[in-house]
Amino acid sequence: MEAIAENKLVCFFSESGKAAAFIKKDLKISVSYKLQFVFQFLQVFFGIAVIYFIGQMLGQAGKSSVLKNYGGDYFSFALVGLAINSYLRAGLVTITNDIRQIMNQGTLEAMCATPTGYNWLLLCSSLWQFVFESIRVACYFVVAILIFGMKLDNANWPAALLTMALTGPVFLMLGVISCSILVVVKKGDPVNWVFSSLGAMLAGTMFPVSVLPDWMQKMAFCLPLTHSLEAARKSLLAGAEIGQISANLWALVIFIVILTPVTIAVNNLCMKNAKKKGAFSTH
Amino acid sequence: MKVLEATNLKKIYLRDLPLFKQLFLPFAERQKVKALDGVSLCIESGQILGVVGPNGAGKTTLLRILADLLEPDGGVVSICGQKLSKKGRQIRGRIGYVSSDERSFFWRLTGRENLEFFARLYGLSCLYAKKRTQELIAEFCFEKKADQLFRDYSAGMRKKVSVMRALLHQPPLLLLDEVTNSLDPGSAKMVRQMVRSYVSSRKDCAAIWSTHRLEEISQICDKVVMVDSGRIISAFLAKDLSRSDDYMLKVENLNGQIDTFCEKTGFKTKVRTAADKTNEIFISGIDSRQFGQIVSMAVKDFGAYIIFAGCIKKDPDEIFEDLQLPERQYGSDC
Repeated sequence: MEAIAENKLVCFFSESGKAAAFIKKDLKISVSYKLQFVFQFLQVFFGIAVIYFIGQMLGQAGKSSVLKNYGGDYFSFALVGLAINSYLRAGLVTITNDIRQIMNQGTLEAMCATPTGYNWLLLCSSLWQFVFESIRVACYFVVAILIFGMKLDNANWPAALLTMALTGPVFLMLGVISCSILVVVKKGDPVNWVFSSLGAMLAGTMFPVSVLPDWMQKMAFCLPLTHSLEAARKSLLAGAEIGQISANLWALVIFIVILTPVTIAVNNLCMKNAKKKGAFSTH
Repeated sequence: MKVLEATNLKKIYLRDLPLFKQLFLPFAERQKVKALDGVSLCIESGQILGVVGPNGAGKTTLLRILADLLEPDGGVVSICGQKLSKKGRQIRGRIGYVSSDERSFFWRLTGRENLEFFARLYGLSCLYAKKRTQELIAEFCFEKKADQLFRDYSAGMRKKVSVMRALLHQPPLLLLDEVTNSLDPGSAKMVRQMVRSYVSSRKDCAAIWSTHRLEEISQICDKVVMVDSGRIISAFLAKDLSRSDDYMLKVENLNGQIDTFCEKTGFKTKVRTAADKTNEIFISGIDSRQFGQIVSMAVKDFGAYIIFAGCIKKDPDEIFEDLQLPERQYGSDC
């Protein structure tokens, strides 16, 4: 029994060591693109500025009744939408682009030749983007508060952090599903389209879901981004307690519960298919 | 001990449909192409098996199946006694694979950083990954280049890093696909020596060396299989290659006795009548001592007048043609 426990411990450290190696490798690669690295942070400033001026233009109209539940200010409302959406885009768009690149180079095949699980490989490939995007999300708020005068006085930080803690795994798993499908189809991943493009509209990144027609609201309810945005906005902008956003938090938990086996199954299926076709390095 | 045993491996690829069918009949039956058709082989520890064959013969498919990167449609692969289909992930840790494509790295990292990263993927601890990487860099005389970005490497340098990556975790089985293709003669020789010494110096270690270069086969391999159209068409010992040159005897005065003479040599012969009416007799599968005896017989027993007697170097195609024996399961005698 002790030997098994020790073996599991060694295995755990070995696998977490691999995750750390991925983060270190991806950090080095990100920093090596110096200009892009700087622009990614500058983009934060300009993204916020655009929303700020739209908010200014809307003025009092921006403080409509539909925004009452979220503190009433369009700038803050849209900023949270932008920040959380960029988190999702990291999971779906950026990572799939990275995977496509390493697949074309044959590096994915070289990684698949190592004794590392395919699930773990794709998950670890996504980690750095989430770490990086978390830093960018923090920057969104820092810049908005310091330069554009965003007020987060009412924020309920424990509720907001819990929301992010539940959002992270959901987006990470969507990223892994997306990458798994990409390995087989190479281009045109449907998960990416549904959750990234369609999701950005339906989930209410820039406007409240309540302005959508009923049938669209029902579709929006099925997207995790909708619940992440709702919970993040209510906790950050209206100071909602955990109990007040529990419906959204439970929805995220349900997404995690459903997506965990789905992610594993899709990954196994796609990797098996890729292995059958020899598609780890073809494009 | 058998390091690798593969039985009856089969792989079929489906060809893409023509554009018209892709658009209007997407579910039409696709043409099947047999990439591997019942390949069996086995390698014992200490051996290097050469895999040769023309382009598209199935060499890379075979190696990718053995590296657990491609699933066969039939057959079984066992490495160090464990079935690849059941313990693939675990077994991948016992294989060092060098693909024919040397681009498979992170181009914005240095060679050292790439090797350290892959060492972690092979399960080496952080400290040991650094140590092992340094050891290999020293062994391959790569100290000056190790800290340059991978994108700045020449094709040959990239290939060296690929070989180093395959040796990081000191696997019992090395699979090397066209490994010396982009190397200069000196580096190619060094890699051959490295692989030979790696396999010889370790217990229970073997390698498969796929190549087009015939001279490499006799230098590094113990046994050779020739693959064509997905089948092993010939299997022979590498030392047979050094006996595969033809000897030629150009004679006069043998008219009428030529068939008797050829029969008496006891070896495979080909006879050609030259423009000057002399006979050119090509004799295969003999060494210089045997050739001497045949020359002596021609003079003494047949009274032939020798115009020329000597060794004719064959090109690789001719040697392979001679070595194409009926198919048999390679490894039954290994």
